[in-house]
Amino acid sequence: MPMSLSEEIQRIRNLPPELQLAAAQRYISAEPDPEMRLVAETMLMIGAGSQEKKHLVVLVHGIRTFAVWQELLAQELRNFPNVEVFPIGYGFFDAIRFWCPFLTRKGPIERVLRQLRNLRAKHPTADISVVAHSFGTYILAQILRDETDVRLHRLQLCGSIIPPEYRWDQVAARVGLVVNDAGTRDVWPVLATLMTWGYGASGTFGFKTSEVKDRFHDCSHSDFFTAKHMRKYWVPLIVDGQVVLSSWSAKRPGPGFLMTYLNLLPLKSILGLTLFVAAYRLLA
Amino acid sequence: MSSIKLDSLISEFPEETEAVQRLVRFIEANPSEDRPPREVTAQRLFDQARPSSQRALAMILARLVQSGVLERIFRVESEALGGIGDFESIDKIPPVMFDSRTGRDIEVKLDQVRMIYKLPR
Repeated sequence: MPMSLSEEIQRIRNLPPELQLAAAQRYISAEPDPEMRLVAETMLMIGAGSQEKKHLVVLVHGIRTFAVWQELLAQELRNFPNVEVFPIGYGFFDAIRFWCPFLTRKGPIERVLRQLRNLRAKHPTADISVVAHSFGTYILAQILRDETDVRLHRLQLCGSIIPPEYRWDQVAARVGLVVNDAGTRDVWPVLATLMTWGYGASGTFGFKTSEVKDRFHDCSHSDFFTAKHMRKYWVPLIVDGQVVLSSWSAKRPGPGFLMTYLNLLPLKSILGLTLFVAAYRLLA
Repeated sequence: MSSIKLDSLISEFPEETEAVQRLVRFIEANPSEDRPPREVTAQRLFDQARPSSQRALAMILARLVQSGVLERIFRVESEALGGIGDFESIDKIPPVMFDSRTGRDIEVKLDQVRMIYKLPR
């Protein structure tokens, strides 16, 4: 396994003085990326990296999945010794429990909350960041809204079903940088909004608020889970707090008739009203 | 100085907004075309910016070097104080140099190398 930059700097600095320059030159000349070369040289010369704070990265998945992407991201973060990854699951959560607005959503929320509190208890000084997908974003939004002891360093959302009107301003003091990767071809957040209560299509249209950085991609609900995407967008955010811009954000086309219509269709209200009328007639 | 794209740096590194502002204020302080460029060590820039992440500031400085706002050199210093050679990259430094201040050849050690940023006039 290759060493991380901070480990390499420590190794060079621990060599006898007469060997350090040659070792540094070998390391720097082997770096193919000119920008990373500049960064490595700077870090080396200021002797940085030796005391990086412990950073726990919690991964929360969506429904109807066992989330193989969690292991892929853990793999991409393995070269950062201060980063420790914790995939959190809540079992196979089916569409019925996802749809039902009462009771069934509570179990996963409590499980993730318990895990976050356990991690905080075990690592009281560490930073805790979260990467959440789909229903995992809903879980995190509920936890942040209701549990004021939960504090997050960074939050990466993708395929988000959090309502766009979510009050990020009310939780801003407890969560640092929030980035929302939205897929302009992602129909699932729109369908979730259409079919039931409590969800929103922020994973398709963004939040459009100053507290969250929306970043749009030409992809659908689970297309974020490639090593390429993680390496380009998620690893810089988690490790350095760097928001790498997506060129698609500026050139993306409008949402199109179908997406817009589906998002505005009050299907659940019609359904609710129909059920109410039917129940009233039965009882009357 | 309008050449520093403050907004793009801040939008890329939002957690370092204040550090970027402090850094730019320091870089832009008292520029004058009559004087040679100010030279400061990397450590001085880090002390001025006070970033929350050293790695993030290293990336910000890399951007400023790449865009030509800052110039960066590696200066080999004599044991008798004072520079004896400037190099654009660490791997360009020769293992042995003539130290004009002591009049003898020296084996260059990493501790004798300073990373210097030249600030714009």
